[in-house]
Amino acid sequence: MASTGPAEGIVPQTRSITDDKVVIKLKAVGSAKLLKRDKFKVSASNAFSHVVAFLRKQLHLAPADALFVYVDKFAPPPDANVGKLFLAYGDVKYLVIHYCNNPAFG
Amino acid sequence: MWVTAAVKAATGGSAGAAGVDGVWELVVHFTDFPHDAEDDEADTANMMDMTTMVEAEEVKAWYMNRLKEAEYVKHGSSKGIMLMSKANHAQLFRAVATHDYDRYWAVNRTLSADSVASPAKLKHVPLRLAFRNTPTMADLILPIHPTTGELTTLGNALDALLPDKPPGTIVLVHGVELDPDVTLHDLTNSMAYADNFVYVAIAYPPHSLPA
Repeated sequence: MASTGPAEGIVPQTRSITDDKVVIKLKAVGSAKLLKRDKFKVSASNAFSHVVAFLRKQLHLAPADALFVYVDKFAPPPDANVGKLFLAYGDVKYLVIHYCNNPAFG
Repeated sequence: MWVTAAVKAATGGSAGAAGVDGVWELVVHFTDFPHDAEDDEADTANMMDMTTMVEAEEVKAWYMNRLKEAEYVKHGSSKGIMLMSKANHAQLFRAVATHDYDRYWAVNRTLSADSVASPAKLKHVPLRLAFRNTPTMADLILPIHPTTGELTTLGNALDALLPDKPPGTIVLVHGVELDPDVTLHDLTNSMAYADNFVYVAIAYPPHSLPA
């Protein structure tokens, strides 16, 4: 496919990733258990499902326990790339992730 | 519910898609989700990338979440969906499930009325690139170039997102090869899928995968 014009500038660069690391900030919603530590550095190349698996471990959840995880009010697809999620939906410094035991945000 | 997919080699080989597998064969399974590999840590991680949807409610939740994400990308917040009545949520999903075009658009039109008319009201383009064997790629793309003010074309977007794509890369939306000069605003209005994302399938020519 031939280039049809300027490609620079159409992908906004408001956030950037250093050393392939993204800081995630985990926030409990509703009756979900609070974490002692809520910020973690994760590899930007990870899939979102790895963050969910990590969070389940932190919360000591049994396989049958439900956990709903959101980025800006929607649940990302499990195969979404954490770095891309941060670049698209992140705060300036963190990717804020909400978690709860019940479906939230309608 | 879980899905296995296989690419069926294109038979006959049309001129546009010669040498590229074009047809997907999807098998939807409703029982026997492969749990047996759960002991293996690596397999468990792969397994979690698979979507297990047992009930229609879960399929609906998945759909609504994609819709919310698209709404966030397009308008900077998911408010359009959040403020929508429950009856409209139900109608939207029922329309998708029953292929009811009129009912679907009766609700979906209200979501994007502004941005359909004017690309300036579209914050970012809900564009997803789909590849063979690797997860889809979603970046925020501006529908209008910030300095020149020109409408972003599909060709511009692919140059920005896939600068190393080999010549002969095939770009399909809804199975149709597109002109690189088509604007992303037009694509968003006319070629979006039911969740309001525009999914673009990228097929690299055989033996020339980018580094």
